[in-house]
Amino acid sequence: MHLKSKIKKIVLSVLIVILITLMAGGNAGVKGIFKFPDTVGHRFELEIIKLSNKGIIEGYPDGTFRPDAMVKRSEIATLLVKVKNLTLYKPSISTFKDVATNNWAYGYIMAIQKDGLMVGYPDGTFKPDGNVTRAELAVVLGRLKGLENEASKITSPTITAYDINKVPSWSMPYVDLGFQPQYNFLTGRAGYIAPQENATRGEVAYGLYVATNPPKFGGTLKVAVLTNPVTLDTQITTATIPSTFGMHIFETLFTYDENGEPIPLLVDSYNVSNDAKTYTFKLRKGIKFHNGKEMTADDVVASISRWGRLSTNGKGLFSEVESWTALDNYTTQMILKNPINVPAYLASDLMVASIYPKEVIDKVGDTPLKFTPEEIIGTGPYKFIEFVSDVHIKLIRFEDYSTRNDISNGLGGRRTVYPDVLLIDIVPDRTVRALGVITNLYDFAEDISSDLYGKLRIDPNIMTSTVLKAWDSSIFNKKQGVFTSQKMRQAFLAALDMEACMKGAFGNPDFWDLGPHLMGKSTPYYTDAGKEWYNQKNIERAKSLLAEAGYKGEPIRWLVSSDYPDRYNIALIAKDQLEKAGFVIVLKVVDWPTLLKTRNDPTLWDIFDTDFRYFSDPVFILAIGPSYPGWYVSPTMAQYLSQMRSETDIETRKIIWEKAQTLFWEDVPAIKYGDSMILYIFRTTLEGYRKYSISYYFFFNMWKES
Amino acid sequence: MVDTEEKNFFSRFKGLKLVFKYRSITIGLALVTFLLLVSLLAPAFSTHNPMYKDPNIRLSPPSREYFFGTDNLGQDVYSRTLYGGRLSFLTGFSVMFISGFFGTLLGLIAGYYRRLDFVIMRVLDGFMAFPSILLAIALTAVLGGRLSNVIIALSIVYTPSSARVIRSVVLIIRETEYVEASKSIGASSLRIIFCHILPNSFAPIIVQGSYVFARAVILEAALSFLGAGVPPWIPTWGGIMSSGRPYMMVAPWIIFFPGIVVILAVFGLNFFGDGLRDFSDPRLRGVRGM
Amino acid sequence: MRQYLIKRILALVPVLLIVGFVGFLLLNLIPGDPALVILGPEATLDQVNKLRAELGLNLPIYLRLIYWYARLFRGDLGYSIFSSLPVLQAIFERLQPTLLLTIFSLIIASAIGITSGIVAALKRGTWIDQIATSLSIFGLSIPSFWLSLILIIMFGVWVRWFPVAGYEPLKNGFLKTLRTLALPSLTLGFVNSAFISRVTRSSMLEVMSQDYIKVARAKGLSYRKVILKHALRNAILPIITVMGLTLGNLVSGAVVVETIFALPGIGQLALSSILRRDYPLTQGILLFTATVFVLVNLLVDILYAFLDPRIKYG
Repeated sequence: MHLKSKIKKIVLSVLIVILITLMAGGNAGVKGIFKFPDTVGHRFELEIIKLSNKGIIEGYPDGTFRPDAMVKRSEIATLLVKVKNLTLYKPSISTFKDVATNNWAYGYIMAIQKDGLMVGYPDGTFKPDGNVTRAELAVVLGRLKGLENEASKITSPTITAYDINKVPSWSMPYVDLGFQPQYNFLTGRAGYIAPQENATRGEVAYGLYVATNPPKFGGTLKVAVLTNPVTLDTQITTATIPSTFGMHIFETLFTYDENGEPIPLLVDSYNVSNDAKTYTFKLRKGIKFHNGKEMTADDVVASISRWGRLSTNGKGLFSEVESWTALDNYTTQMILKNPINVPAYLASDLMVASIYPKEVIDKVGDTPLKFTPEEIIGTGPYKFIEFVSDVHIKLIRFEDYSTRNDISNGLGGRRTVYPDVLLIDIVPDRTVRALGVITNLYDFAEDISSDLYGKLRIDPNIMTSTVLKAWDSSIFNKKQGVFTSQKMRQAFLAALDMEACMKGAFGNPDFWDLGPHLMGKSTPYYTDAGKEWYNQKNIERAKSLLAEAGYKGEPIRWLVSSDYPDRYNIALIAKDQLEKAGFVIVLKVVDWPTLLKTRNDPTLWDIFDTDFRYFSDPVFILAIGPSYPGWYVSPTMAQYLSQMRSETDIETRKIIWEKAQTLFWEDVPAIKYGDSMILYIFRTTLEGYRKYSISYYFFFNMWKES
Repeated sequence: MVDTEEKNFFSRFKGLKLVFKYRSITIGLALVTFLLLVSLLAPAFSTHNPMYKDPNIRLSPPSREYFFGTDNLGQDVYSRTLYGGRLSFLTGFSVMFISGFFGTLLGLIAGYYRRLDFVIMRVLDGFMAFPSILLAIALTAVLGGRLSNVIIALSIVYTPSSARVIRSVVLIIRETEYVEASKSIGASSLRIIFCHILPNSFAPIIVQGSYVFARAVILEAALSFLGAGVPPWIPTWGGIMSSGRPYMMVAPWIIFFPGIVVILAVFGLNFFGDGLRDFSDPRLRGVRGM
Repeated sequence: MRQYLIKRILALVPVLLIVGFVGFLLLNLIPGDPALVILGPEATLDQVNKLRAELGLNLPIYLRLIYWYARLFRGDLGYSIFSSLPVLQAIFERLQPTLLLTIFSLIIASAIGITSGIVAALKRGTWIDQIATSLSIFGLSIPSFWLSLILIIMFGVWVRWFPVAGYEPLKNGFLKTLRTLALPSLTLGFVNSAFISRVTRSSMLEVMSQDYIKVARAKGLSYRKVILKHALRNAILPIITVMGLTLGNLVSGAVVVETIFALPGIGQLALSSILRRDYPLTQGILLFTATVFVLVNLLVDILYAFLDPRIKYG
């Protein structure tokens, strides 16, 4: 009797537990937001979907949207009618020579003509099958918003762009208004307005959406991040969170445009001498630091000098610098021993060449900046207020920010801060970060598990963004131990099945990629040189190489950190593969500080794992340098790198880089397993998100809808 | 002779106790032995190599081929759970017995001998301050990453609490009449401790024991991720659950099944312990004899 | 009694000195370097050595220990390497969430534990006893991270009663604070109620089979009065012990819960300071925890004497 009831109770509690656990995993299917397969990751995806959800714009019968296709004038007429909810107007006589009363768009075209949105050409035509140009789009949107009055007051443009002179005068005022932060319904094309180019469906969708849902200033933007920043001294650190938020607080002389090329930020203009050894930078005037002081050449010289002392990139540059001085209050000059592409270094997003006030540098010297508003002072659009460990970093809009007037172009150009406060909450648990966005506790969260991607895609309130993060790598100890032998390293490479490693560690194939490239696909330096060595999956070859190398079964000490589960998972899978080929592997799990300490000592390890962010320039790649742990000493590689440093012509650099990458795969100083992506998620009420050429997120030009 | 007054309240206890006593011990022992055997005979019962990774089937739900589903590396959770039992039982039992033994010993001494009480307790107070992480990492750094270091670290962590529990019981019993009576007839301290005090302390010892077992299993996993003890890819119940934590919403079976097994093991221990306590309770001895 | 109290409090000194010493030793045994952690993976050895010198880490161990003790006697626990705050201030700033979490969890654990323990004891052998016992065992064998996440999903996502993470300090309103601590306290409370429940049950059973209970019943006292006034009062001692121990468990259990719920408490601080090798802060927290344990155990011991006149201290 009691036995039975005891068993009953156990079974009952087990059932309850099953129910709860499995329900935790399940999710009610909700109508999703990801309607069009060809807009995923598109710059205007959110606006396209929102506009489509409102019934204004539709996809094609085959389910696509074709965001980069052209828009006919007749098509935009129909869109405008829907947006403004006009009644179709079909008078018996057409106003336009080329629009017959039985034209499918007749009612729409006449309606918007009546409303004054589009008036046709001076010759009496409407050209319904012509494509809408960007200039025309600007005018249409401006009229849609009823900005005729404002437009009439604009006599000369307040904005600049590379092709500002090509903007036709009849559209100029509206183009100008479209780029102003309170309207923001136009977007540039890598710094060009391209007024005579055809507008794309995506641009039209964006414009219509923002014209009718204008940006709002104010509010608090809440972001959930993984971990505490160890410091906010961006000149020194290479960690992601400090660099990301540091670049909101501090600015650099150069930054990256939409294409990932360096463009001036704090610099107004610069010129390079004919021998490419002298750079003269003219700084912008009237730029204020957060403490109210104006930025001058002294601040710039002191900051870049400090960066040159403390950062690896900086040291690389300054080893070639003969002098770096201020010529006057707003001019600085760098004289080099050999030609080097200086702006590329100054724009770097790793160990950022941020500009600090000279007084702060005098005060702290080479010690990292502390987390106080007295030391964290920059010129950026956000101002540092406080950092409370394990709680948040608090930034507020810097009211006296001197923005550039050129149109927003990647990280360059105009930077507008819409929210009053940016609150960066530290939420270590991955699942909780995701749940926080789902429950509207946070607006944006980084580093969400890619396995949740499917579930998140069907939540109508959440937008996702998959961004290239880094390539995962194992570094060999080439100073001491078994891997001083090239054959050993080649044997290791031969045995690996990269696909299995990446799949095991990252799962969803949308979140990882294979390929021997060490420079990203969107950079001009992308190449698949070395592909014959990448992903060989050849255990037999590995075995014979091991034999040739004379491997006697010495245990190979592989350092991994449990703090980084993805890399650690790669190591686990690779280990099985390598053991089949005859390697004897001892995986040592340590925490991150122990790993950092241990890897400086060549007697203690043979391999350690890390990942490398994708850089904008091959010369920044650390794994191929001689001082990085692993100690890769190769005269040929060094020669390639120094050639690249001094060469400014892109085509020549590409050729050199191809050779360098090939050498990398022949010599194998390190292994690349594959590319991994990172998943960001945010509420659909957050507008203005863009993917940048570098893998961070930035909260300029972003606003929250109420 | 039984009071008629007592019948209402206590008689039901007497009747049940007989049944309870035997059933508990049997069920408890059966459960624990079953799990232990299955773990030790894991090679016979498992369906796959617990370390074989197949990324193509990662995070698969339970199926006929993979009873408990697969984890994020495509390993069979069922086979890992079976093999995991060995190390988990080893860790759990070791910590339980070591901390139980030393804790009981220290608690008895401290409770009984007033002069030693002060010193012993203050030392244990100090011990309680050390987080197991610190101890485990330090031991690993000095002695290497072995399971024994985790066991030592966890035993140190749990000894003070066992000691305090035992001591509190001893403090009371020390003052009871039968102890005084024993003393007056010249019974040695040792005899008093072992024949009178100890049996009455069984209940809290057993409860503490099963608690420590459960905690040790879970904590071992956390420590292995820091490099202490067994490498985290060697299956242990706590380790499998920890590895399933990031995937809770997509693959809850990774945590669920080892969790159930831990619950069953702890249930078993408790029933066994309850039965043992009832069996040895001096007050009930007379009842049994009836 | 007063003398005893004074002796106990004075005993804090040697305990703290020894804890400090052992802690110092342990920390220096662990490999790792706070300078490396601050400067990051790409730092060069020069930079690292420079920072180490500035942080005073290049001095020989015995000197560092002596300086630390010297400062300790002045009441100065030094500065946290990472936040540059004085250690004592860093600890006090993080005290509120952990303190409140511990108190609420203890209340919940005791409420659930004592009640279910009494009920189980009274209804011994019945199905109520079974359920109460089963629930207890369930509570103590599940990992707290699992229960945390389940509660978050059930009460934070399915129904939006509580925020899934974050902490509202008291100055923003007690109700808000309560909301952010509800789920964490429930988790820790439930997990720790098991121990209290089991001990209450067995303690009550011990007491209820005593003669004086029979006498009380014989005298005609009501059931309830017998239980609450006599039985519970005498069963309370082990229960108090366990509650005191639970306090200790809560402090260590707080680490996991604080991490998941993003509560900026001492638990998270302790974990991150060890993992970042923030030596001064870790040592400070060790001393702080040791003090807390000593005082709590003192309180428990005093309660013993107060509740049971038979207990005397030397």
